[in-house]
Amino acid sequence: MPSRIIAKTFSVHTGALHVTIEDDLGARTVHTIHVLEPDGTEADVSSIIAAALVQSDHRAARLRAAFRRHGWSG
Amino acid sequence: MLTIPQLIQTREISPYLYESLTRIVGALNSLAARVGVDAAPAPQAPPGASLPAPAPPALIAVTGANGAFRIALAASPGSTSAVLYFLEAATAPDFGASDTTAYPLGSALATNLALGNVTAYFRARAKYPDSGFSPYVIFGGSTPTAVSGGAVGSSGLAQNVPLNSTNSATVDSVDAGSSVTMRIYGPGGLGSAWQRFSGQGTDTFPAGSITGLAYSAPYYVVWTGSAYLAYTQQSEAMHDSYVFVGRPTTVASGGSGGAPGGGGSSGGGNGGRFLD
Repeated sequence: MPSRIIAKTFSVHTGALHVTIEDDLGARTVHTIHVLEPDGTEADVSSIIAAALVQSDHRAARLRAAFRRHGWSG
Repeated sequence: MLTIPQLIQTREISPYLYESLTRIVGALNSLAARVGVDAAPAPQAPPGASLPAPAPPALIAVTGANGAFRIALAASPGSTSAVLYFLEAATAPDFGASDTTAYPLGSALATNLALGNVTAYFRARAKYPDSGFSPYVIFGGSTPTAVSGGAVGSSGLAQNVPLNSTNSATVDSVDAGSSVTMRIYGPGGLGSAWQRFSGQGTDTFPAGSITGLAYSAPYYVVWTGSAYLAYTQQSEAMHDSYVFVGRPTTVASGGSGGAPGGGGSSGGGNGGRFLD
């Protein structure tokens, strides 16, 4: 899984976990996970992060394919 | 200025005494010129004006922009370092006493006045600490020139102040089982960055998501600088540092209904200012 978590911050103010993910192309996404809400169990948090990583990988792969198709580097 | 007519006669008594007194007189007059107070004024000099007034400032230049005036003077010709400058700004070209404000500049030749978007006329004059005032130098000459302070534009304000803005964000939501997950992304689809367009230019923000939200509820979604937050109350989302993203309504349980927020790929929608 080339995408990686580069920052994970829990905000006491909002009761949320802020997870920043960067794919291997350098694009970043920021996910706000409300750990105090109904889906806030540890397992749910892990699955949300895992899904976000998969989504990030998927998007980077599609972008790379598009780059190759058009003869760009990436 | 101190002069001692009898000084020349002391040379015949003692060249050393003459030389010493000459140096003392020279030092005193030099000091008086630099301080701007004559130690030995002429008997007919009025009180508070032991020195003749300096020449007026050689030039006055005024520009106005972003609600502020920039005024630059050129030094009074022939003046010493003791000269003081006084700027006057008036709302009418006749510089009446009631609508004229004086700004002592000290020895400075330039200043900025943040008077807002007003029309003003400017003139300046100079004096020594112990002299009368010089004549005025008027911006525009005998027909004073009006200068406008100009309105403050978006580029002169802090970030997030511009009133006209939109973005290319899409804020939609999906049913996550027991709550709603909101997704924020740009024209490139899920995971792609979005941009905000305003009078300050274009800013790019990362994609993201927010979990744990309620079904069928309207939210105000903002970017805090490091994270996305969704508020139900507009009043909670007013912090100056927040970048407004959109005002979506989440889907119902099962994923139906709801309405996306943000400006979408072409801008507009509710990606600009806060909308009810």
